[in-house]
Amino acid sequence: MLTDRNINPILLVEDNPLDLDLTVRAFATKNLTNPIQTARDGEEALKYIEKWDNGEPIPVVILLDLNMPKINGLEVLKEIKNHPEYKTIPVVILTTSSESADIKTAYQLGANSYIVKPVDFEKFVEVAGHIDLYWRILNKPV
Amino acid sequence: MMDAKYEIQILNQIIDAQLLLQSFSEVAKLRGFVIQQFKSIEGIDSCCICLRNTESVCGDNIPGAQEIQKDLLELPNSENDFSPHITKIKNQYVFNVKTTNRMFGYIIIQIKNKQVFDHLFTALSSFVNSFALHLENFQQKNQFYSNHQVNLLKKNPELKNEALHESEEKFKLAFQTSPDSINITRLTDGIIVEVNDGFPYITGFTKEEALGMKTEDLELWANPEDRNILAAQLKETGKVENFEFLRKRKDGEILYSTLFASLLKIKGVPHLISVIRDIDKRKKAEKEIVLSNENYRSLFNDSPIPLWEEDLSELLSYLNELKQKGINDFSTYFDNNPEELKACSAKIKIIDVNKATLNLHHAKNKEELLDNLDKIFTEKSFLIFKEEVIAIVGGITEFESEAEVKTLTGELRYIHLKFKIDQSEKGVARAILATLDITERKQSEIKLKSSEERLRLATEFANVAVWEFDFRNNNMTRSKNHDLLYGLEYKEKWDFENYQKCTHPDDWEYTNEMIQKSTAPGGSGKYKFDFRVVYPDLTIHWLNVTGIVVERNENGEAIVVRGTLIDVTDRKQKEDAIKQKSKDLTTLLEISQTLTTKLNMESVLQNLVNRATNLIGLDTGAIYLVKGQDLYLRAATPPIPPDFPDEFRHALLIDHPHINKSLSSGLPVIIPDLNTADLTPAEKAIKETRSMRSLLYVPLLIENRANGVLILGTDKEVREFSEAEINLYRTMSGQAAMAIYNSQLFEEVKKLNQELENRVGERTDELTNSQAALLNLVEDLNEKSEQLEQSTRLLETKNKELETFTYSVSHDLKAPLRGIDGYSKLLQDSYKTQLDGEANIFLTNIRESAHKMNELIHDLLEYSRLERSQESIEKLRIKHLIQTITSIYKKELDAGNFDLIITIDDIEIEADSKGISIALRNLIENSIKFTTGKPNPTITIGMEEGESSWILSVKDNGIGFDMKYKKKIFDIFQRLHRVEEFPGTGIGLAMVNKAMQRMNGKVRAMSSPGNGATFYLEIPKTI
Repeated sequence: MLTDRNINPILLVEDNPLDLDLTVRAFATKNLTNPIQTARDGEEALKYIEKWDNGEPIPVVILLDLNMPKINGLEVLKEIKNHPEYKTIPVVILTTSSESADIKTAYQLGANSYIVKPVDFEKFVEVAGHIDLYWRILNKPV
Repeated sequence: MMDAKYEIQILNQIIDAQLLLQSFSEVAKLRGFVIQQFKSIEGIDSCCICLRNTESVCGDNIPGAQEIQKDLLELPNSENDFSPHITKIKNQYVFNVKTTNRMFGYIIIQIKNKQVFDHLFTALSSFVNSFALHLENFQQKNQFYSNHQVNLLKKNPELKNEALHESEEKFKLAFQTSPDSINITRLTDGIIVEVNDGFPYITGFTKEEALGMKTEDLELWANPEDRNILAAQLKETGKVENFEFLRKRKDGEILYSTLFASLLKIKGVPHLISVIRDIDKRKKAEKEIVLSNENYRSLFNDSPIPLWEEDLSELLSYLNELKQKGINDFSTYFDNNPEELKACSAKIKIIDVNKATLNLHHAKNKEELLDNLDKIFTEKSFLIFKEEVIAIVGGITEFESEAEVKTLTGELRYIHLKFKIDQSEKGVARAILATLDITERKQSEIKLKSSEERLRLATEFANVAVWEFDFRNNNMTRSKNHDLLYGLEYKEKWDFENYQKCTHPDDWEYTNEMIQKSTAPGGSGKYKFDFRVVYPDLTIHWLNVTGIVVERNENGEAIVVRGTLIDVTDRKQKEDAIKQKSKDLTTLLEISQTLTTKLNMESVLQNLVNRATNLIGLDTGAIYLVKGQDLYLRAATPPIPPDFPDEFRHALLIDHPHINKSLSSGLPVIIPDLNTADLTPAEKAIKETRSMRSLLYVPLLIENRANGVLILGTDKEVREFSEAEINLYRTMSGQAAMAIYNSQLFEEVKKLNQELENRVGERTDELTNSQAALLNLVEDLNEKSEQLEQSTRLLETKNKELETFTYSVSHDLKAPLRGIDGYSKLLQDSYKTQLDGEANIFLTNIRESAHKMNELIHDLLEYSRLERSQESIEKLRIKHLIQTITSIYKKELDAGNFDLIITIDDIEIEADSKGISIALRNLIENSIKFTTGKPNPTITIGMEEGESSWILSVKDNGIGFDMKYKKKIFDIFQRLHRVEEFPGTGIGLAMVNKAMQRMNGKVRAMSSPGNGATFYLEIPKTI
């Protein structure tokens, strides 16, 4: 369960540094002020689990890229969605791949949403806005 | 029965005692003596004397004696009570001790054995009388004399005289009354001076005759020697006691007597007083006893019947003991305690066994037998012994039974046992046991019984009757079942006439002859034969009779014949049947053997006709085989001569109606007499040639199809064919037909077989060749298949590689594009104020390039995907699909004011929907692209059915194109316009082309510049 809604971090799992930066900037453009946790690959992403166990704030949404070195996104998705505690964290797949196989697998593994990153930055900013909306619903006070 | 010996002994005793009475001088002693004497007699239990003048009872304490004594004491002196006291106590007797003058008292005795007592009663009475006399003496003496008084007498002669006188009187009395013969003779000359009353009684001489005579004159001595002996003894001792001698009576009878003699002085002259007692009876009895003993002993020993003499005293006392212990059901007792029975048998003392007994048990001597007594008893013996013992216990003295024993050598013997016990002597129980050997008789009995039984069974169950005929009275003694054998009920009388009446007339003569021959004088005396009898219901039965002459008269003629009579009808019938069957079978066997061992047609048939003809002794035979309407003579006996006319060898069925008949009916046909029969010319001809008289036609059929015919018959004589014979041939004909058929088949089979072999040979070769060819083909196929597999695998691998490649490409190529576009935009946005127009344009260009790049990558990806994707043919509602696709472009269509016309029927086609979608989409996109801006932009989509395909058309009224490029436009990345004129990478139509190619379809374009374009998609119909 989300322990502290007020902190509301977002976990962003992305290996491409440019993509990472652009995503952050896109969120900023949309006035998302939430703290953004980052992981540069699957391994780092999974390390967060330990952190959350130790009391670090649990993100309200995880933005997950699929193609990553070491442990790829689908695996991370699987781990998180199988975790007794953290499977409830919404995971949005944010990726360039539009392969239907990928989409299917992602949903099978429990992805909450699947967004194909547009090359066009403006469109991407729109996407970020949608995520904000999504996140906002979650952010309703208990 | 009392032992005679014993009786005599007692009598003697009593007599002696009587004489001894006088020796007692005192009453008391006398009394005691009397009591003693009584008691010494067997049978007298106790004795006591009650006398007057005595205070108490003397002797045993017998109940009632005291009372009697009391009465006596109270009796006044003068009174004499002569009434006997009869006591009410059983077994008691009271003697009155009295003389004629006086009564002295009673002697009371208790009797144990009344028998004994009765026998001795007279003697005892006499004894008691003597006792009484002596008591009278004593009384007188005592009254007047005591011992002292006797002495006084001695001194006083007067008294003496008186005393003497007294005593003389007494003596006189005694002398007279004694039953014995007493005579006094003068010693010197032997003259008899005095005799008593008893003398005449004993000697037969009267007093008058005797007195004054010499004893020897009277011839009292049967043996004069005796007298001398007597005299001698007298001289020696002065008295003689118990001298036994033979005396003669007056009538000459010689008797045994015993003599007591004593010297006596009468008036100083020596006299002899002799008391003669008759002991003849006794003596004779003694002698008899001895004799009978001897007789008995010799009888015992020489008896042919085995005898045992046994002493059962010990056994009896033992049994009594058991009785006293309370055992009364001895049968059960011995059943429960078999050792007791054995103990009983041990208590029997064997006194003697006779020779016959030794022989019976195969014993050499008495000792051997007695040592091995246990060997002679069997289980059964003991059972009988038990019965014996029970009988003994019950007091039965005689016992008879059948029993069994064994010899010392272990042989079993049956005996008839008789057993007699003599318990008369006190304390002794003797028995004589006779065991008659009835073994032979018993065995015979058993044998007889069993043979009787056997005979009875035999006759009862075997329907055997026994008879005995007496010629003299013409009478037949017979068993009850005899008459039944003639079908009659038992008659009282059976005689020769009956026999004659019942016998079958055909058999009468010869059976009679046989009987006469054997019973005649000098004949064999035996006969045995079977003969027929006719029952009242006229059925015929066979009987077997045996007879033996058992008695002949003096002329040798048979008088009595004895024999048996048995019904053998069944047997006879069976015998006949068997005989016949046996014969038939033998023949059939022979025939069948021949038939089955040969397959050669000619020999089969020849053999067959030969055998068939010989079977019942016929003369001629022939076999014709039939084929359709033709007859072929194939075999005959007597053999066919070489010059036999052909028309006989091969004839037509119609010319031989008899053969025809038998063949068509399947039944035998008979011509009893050819001379008189109705024959066709062909048949007549044959008859003459072959010489035939009676014929039998037997058809040879297989499954009711005529195969041939067997013709048999006689040549000269007329002959009947019996049913049995015909049946025999029918049986045979089946086999024969079979054999012929087999033979024919065999030939065919051989032929076919050969053909088959040839064909098989050919075929085999063919097959071998094709097989080889086939194998080669298979090999090729296998090779090719493998190659194909390899190629496929390769292809798959390549495909996979390609996929990965395109995936990576698209993904990785796009990323930098995002960077380019992203930062360009940010730059534009964030540094808007610091950038001039040109800078903006630059940035915009940068951005657009990135977008373009993206597009290309995208299309490339799509194209490659189309390449890779699987075609899937499915049922497709084509109109619906088109509507769905066009709806995707609704926005653009609306924005451009497009008029969309779809003229397609709502039909279903089978096609690859994905492919069609992609093709359509691209076409529609193109149409929109190249018709936007034109007035009344219209897109028309329609479909037509061709013969082998559907034609889907997309028509627009856009800019159109020059037909010279109709091929080029479908190349990948090929454009007909500049980038700034129309967007797009030039992949659209390539996609359409690809899509149609995949489904084996085609795309064609029709256009002219400025007049729009129509694209036709040829969708092939699936078969």
